Amino acid sequence: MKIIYYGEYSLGLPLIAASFYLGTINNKKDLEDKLAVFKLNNEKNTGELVYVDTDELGNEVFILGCKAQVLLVKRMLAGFKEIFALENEVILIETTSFNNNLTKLGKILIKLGFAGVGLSIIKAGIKSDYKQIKQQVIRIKERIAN
Amino acid sequence: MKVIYYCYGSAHTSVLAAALHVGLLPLQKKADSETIKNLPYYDQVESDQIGSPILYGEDDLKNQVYILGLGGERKLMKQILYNYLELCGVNTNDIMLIGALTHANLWTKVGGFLSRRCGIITLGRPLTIYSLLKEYDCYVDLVLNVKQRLKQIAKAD
Repeated sequence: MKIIYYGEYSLGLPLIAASFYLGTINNKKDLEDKLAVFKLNNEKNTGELVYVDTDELGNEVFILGCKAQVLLVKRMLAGFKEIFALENEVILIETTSFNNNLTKLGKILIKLGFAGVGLSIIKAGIKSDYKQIKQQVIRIKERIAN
Repeated sequence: MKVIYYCYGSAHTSVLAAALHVGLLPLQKKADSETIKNLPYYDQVESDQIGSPILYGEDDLKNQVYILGLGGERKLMKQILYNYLELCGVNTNDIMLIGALTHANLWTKVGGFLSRRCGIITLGRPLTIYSLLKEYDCYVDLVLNVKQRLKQIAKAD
């Protein structure tokens, strides 16, 4: 089974959520380390499915950045999952539901051209909500395990 | 084989091409505007359906024909789709993605925008039909080309 965490920027919420899922973020320091690689210059692999690691159940975990096309990608991937009967092959997890007001504001600022400030605000938003994000990911993990 | 005609919103050009492909529109002569207006999904697909592949029918070689809206970032969307299918072990040679926007002229885009985005259907819909009828022969050529390729693939198999 493949598990794909996807969102606007692969190294933002998808990587953080995937890391919580894989248990590689255990404290705020781990979170800071992961967020340190989240730079817009590092987002050149948009559209590529980047392998992160394999979980203890043998599921391969991937991240995907889709720019502003997240909703369309969600419908497209779900549609083709049905067409090719991939229910047992892949689990798709959209991470935009983890967004809060700060991350939303940061994205708007990036779109307006204030990339540096916008990115800092997104990171602050992720940091402020990391416990909730972790809880949601744990719930997802429990559902997958069952 | 799955043949997927894609455009911006799966409402006009992909519907026309898919309809030609499955035989709902004639390939030998130009269709009339009423026939185009009454095609399934023509100028009907809503914004919240863009991205979802829609089965349009089957052709004479039993290929399934779909319409798909990929929005404004079509290159990225196609890349994601191919990467995703390959990751899931799907043979991407079994799908054929055909861009249907290549023959859309300015008036098709304006008409589509007025109808789908602004809700001015009474003006937008006839404008799309009028402009697509102008390019009808180009769409016939596009579909005939696709059908020819499909025949060659079937023969090779």
